[in-house]
Amino acid sequence: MSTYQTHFLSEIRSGEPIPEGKLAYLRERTKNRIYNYILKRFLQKESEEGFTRADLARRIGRRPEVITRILGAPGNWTLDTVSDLLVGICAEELEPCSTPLLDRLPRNYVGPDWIILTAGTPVPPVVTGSTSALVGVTLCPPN
Amino acid sequence: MGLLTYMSIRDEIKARIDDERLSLLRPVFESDPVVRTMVISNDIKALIEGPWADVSWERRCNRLRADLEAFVTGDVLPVCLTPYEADSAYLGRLNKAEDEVWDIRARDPSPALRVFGRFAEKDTFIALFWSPRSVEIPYSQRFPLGPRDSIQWKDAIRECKAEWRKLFHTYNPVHGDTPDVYVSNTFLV
Repeated sequence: MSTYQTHFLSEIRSGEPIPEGKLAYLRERTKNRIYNYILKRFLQKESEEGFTRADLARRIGRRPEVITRILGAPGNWTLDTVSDLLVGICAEELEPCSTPLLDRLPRNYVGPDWIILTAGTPVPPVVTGSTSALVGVTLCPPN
Repeated sequence: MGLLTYMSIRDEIKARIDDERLSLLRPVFESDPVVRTMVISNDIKALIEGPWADVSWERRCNRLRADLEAFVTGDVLPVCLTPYEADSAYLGRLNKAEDEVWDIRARDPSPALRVFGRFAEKDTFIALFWSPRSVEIPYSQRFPLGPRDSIQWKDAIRECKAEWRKLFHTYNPVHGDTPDVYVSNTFLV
């Protein structure tokens, strides 16, 4: 695990109060994930059945331009919006589940082959005050 | 006969990363998929990695980080190619389209921010600098962009092109007429 990820998870792992910046990052991730999921469902329905934004608008009682705006960005989707979109798109409801943040296995692929950080090119950590940002680099062996 | 060396923009990007003028944006969680590439300037790196002057700004910048990582992790991205019509899209091409200057539009929460950059190739975005959209931010060196066609918008587009030239000399950014030329997995707004 990189030093950056280790640092990011430190309070989460230790049980200490979680800094607001990290909470904000995780909130945005949650919002983006839900948005990504619903958008994918819409695009799948659109591709497979020709389902349109107008169809969705009709089904959930919104104007088509409102649907375009809603689907264009997660914005401040409420749980009501999430529920309406899912039932309108695919006659489904959200089934909550969660996954642990800690001890996730890293993926092998971390970037395109043509960007390789050669060994011996360290990135110095930056630590200031109570808001520290450690930049960690996974060093790859040279070819 | 001399040996000709062909340098691609990839070589230039790699060289800029090696000389630390650019960095590869990696998701905080190493378990996240890496589907696209975002290369960020030191301006953007400082914004998303801190330190930050206060907690409110720290929250805002961490949200932006999550939004930038959504590009890297392959999320479906709402894209608009027509200047002035991006509305709620994640990525919008600015006026004039042939300049190929784009902004990532982090609209929520307030203050809204814009990250300016260009595409080096498909699914490879070079994020060069950021600007507040409408609200003055004490930690920004730039004035809010304000209404369309403002001098701030014109300056931002000019600055983006100039920063690109400093980094990549004569290499041109991606140019195209459909979203799939620039980014995979898009939702056309």
